[in-house]
Amino acid sequence: MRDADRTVGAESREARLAWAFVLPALATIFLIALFPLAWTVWESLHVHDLRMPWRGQPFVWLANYAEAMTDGRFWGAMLHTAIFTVGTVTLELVLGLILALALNRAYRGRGLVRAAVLVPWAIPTVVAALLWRFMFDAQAGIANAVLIDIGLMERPFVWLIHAWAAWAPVILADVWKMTPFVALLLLAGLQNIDDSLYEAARIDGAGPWRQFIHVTLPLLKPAILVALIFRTLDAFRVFDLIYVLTGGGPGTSTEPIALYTFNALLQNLRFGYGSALSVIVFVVTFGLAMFYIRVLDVDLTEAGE
Amino acid sequence: MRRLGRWGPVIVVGLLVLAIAFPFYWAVVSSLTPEARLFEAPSLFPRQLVFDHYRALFDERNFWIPIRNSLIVAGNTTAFCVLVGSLCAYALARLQFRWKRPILAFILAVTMFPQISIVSPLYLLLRALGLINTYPGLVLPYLTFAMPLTVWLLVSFFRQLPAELEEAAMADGASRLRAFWEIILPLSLPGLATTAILTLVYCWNEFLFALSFTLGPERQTVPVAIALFRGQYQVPWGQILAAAVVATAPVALLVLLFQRKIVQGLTAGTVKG
Amino acid sequence: MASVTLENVGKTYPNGQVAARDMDLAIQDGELVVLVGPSGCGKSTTLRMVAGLETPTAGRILIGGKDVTATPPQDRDIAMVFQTYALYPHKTVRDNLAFGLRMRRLAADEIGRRVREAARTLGLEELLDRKPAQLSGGQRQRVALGRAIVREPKAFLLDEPLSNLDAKLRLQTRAELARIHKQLGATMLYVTHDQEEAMTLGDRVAVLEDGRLQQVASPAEVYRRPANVFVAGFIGSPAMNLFRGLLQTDDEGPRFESSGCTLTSGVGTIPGRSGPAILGVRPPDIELCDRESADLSARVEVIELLGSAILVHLRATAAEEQTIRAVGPEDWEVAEDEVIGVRFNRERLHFFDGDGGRRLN
Ligand SMILES: Nc1ncnc2c1ncn2[C@@H]1O[C@H](COP(=O)(O)OP(=O)(O)OP(=O)(O)O)[C@@H](O)[C@H]1O
Ligand SMILES: [Mg+2]
Repeated sequence: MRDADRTVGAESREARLAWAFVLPALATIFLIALFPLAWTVWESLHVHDLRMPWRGQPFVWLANYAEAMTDGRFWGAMLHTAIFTVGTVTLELVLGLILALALNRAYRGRGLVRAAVLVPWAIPTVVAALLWRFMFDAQAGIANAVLIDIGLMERPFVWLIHAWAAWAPVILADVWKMTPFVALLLLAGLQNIDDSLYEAARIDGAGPWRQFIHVTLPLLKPAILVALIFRTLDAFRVFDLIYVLTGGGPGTSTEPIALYTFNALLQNLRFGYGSALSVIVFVVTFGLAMFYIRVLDVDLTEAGE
Repeated sequence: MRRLGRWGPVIVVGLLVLAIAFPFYWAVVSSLTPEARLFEAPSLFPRQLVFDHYRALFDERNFWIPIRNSLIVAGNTTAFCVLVGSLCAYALARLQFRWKRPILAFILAVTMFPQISIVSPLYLLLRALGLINTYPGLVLPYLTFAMPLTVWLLVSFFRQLPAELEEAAMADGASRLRAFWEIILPLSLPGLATTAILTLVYCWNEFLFALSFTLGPERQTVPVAIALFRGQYQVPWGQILAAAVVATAPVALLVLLFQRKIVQGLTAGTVKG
Repeated sequence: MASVTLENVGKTYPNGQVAARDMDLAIQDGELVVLVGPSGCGKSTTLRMVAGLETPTAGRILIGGKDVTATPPQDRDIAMVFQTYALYPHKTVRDNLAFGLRMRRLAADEIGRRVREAARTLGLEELLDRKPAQLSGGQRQRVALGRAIVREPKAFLLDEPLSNLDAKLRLQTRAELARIHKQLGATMLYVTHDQEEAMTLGDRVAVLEDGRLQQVASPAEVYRRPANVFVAGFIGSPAMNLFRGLLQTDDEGPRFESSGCTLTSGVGTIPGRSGPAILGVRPPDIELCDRESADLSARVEVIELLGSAILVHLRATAAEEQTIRAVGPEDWEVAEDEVIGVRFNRERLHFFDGDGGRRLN
């Protein structure tokens, strides 16, 4: 009995120290992330319109969510987000894989190239958006100049006033900025693959294509999944890029859900409705994360067997 | 075929690097081109280089103010995160206590929080505290993404150090705190530096919070200032591009200097993009 | 220096793994006890509990008669040498040696004196200003040892300190360690999985299996009178021959019968014992003899030269599955494939219980 007490004492001393170490950071996160999140949920159940203070803040149950379900602009924003996500993530994974494979083969100057491709990832998204907006400018843009030079167009084209054309600089800018990141994640995965596996495959008579299908892809799957998760979650939250590049326009035809939420909150000052949209973004993001983590888990255990 | 096998990758890498580098090249060249020339037919090679835009950027637009703001906010956020986060990360990496795994999972989950989901309460909170358009009013929200990021990265760095070193220190008579201070911290300086650099870069680039919680030029950060540049008649592209070059230069420099460490941090801690 | 005592110590890890069961061990002041056993038997766990790096889940630990079960490592005044040395990579050899003394707030000149002394004892004087990365394996090992010595602690705990060294250096360092132990009169708990190291180094040897102490005795005792089959098989190289069979006592006296051999004479008296038993014979206790007076006839399979002796691998002719190892002088008259008769030295037979493996004679 006395012995048991004593051992508990030694263990709880370590636990107490651990809590003392963890608490400041944890309290910070609770205070500025979790508590606001709860507040958002609470807020989303109210009408809270800073422009119409006389309406007060009545509790309205799920009315804000109901409004979202019948809001054409909301569904449009979801659609734009989906277009952006699928478009950029697909391109980034394919190009990233090609770049990673090439980097893995090209030994000379790999360090330098690796540093060079990191730069777009590291610069502010706002800057990337502006660079591409400039390149697609109707008058000053080099895109038009090149297209006219090679004879594909006759007159300068105004990209940002056509709903479908405005996507081109948006998606190109994101692909330009984030492909290097995907490539680096995949390159790390590639470098973990043992060379002897390729040698074994070659001895078994597999050509380069077969080696890629049977050795590279299966072993790279975890890295690909990780890249896929991070890119999808990021793309779903896209804000800076589109805010700066198109402002969601023309009209609202490139407006993603994060931008619509921002406008509802800080342009229209409809905090209740905006909060409901925030909660929806949160739930979808977390749903995606959970879905992926589950898929990832399943695949990892399968690989282990 | 042999040739292609050898040179194929080099060509692919070369082309992609060219594609990646071109926008930078174009931005630099254009920022050095006189305003009038910008709207003529663009040419790949500059015919005349002038520093007008940079001069205007600092003389007329006081661009050093957003730079100062960004440095203050990013610096304070990073310092706080590394200080508080390293203790937390050490406990999570090394000490035994019951809630370790849930806390780690929670912190990972918070790194996936969409910023937009907490903009509205943070706005109301900061307004209530009178912190809109102040430095603390930016540092506090920045902690939401910087703190979990720092902790997560540092946990993976601390785990790489052999546990026996602290055990040896404790057998030598050092307390946990002393062992952390004398043995762990000095040995994880590279990890701490990498973490600090990544956190700085994230803070330097942040846009949504800075846009939402500042009101005027006196507290705007670099990305917000650039995004909100307006000209009298048309978009002041020359100055915007000059500002873009100025905003890019420090992060580009950091990345080029510390690329090996940064790649390690990115792939080990599986950081968000 | 001080004594170290373990009383009914047990350790169950949070994952349910039991690493120590009901352990009783008393190390006298100035004694060197070697804890030996196969990999994963709980040696490191035991040592780490004495150091205070793990908390026992049962029992208590005393150092110098004082209960330290709940005392954190830094207050136990013990020194530990790790298998991986765990030298502080960012400190010079001098600072590595001084660290423990600084933690105990010794005066600077006293620290300097002790560091110099330890450096001289271990031949580290030239290396004091180097960092661990600039040292060879053997030098690192000596620094790790030095870090413990300067402390003049109540007890030394060493976890396989020699296992990262090559064979020659290991022998050399082992001798050095024995010398230091004598010179300092230090209390030491020394962990190894190498039974030869245990036998040559220990004042006493504690044999551990599966978290349980099997025998604690002098090396000679452990070798001559192993307490059970496990100890018998673990200690001694080449390993003891074991024969499973039946022990009977009838009118003609005690006899042991197994499929390979039958012993009728000189079995000695094992009071009132009959039933399944295991006979153990060490390889050097086997002699050649003619087929008629043999305990066992066997075919020579392989002969290995062990320097001044030979190791002969035999297979019993009467029982194909029974192999026997015998060690004899270089000039032993055996040839491969030959069938020979062997006799067991009657003075040195070991009998164990067929069920529990406990020693019978
Ligand atoms: N932290 C731990 N958590 C759970 N089980 C552990 C832990 N440390 C050790 N074990 C288990 O306890 C048992 C004893 O481990 P210990 O390290 O004491 O063995 P050992 O005798 O030192 O072995 P070796 O000779 O290989 O070093 C092993 O089965 C091991 O797997
Ligand atoms: Mg061990």
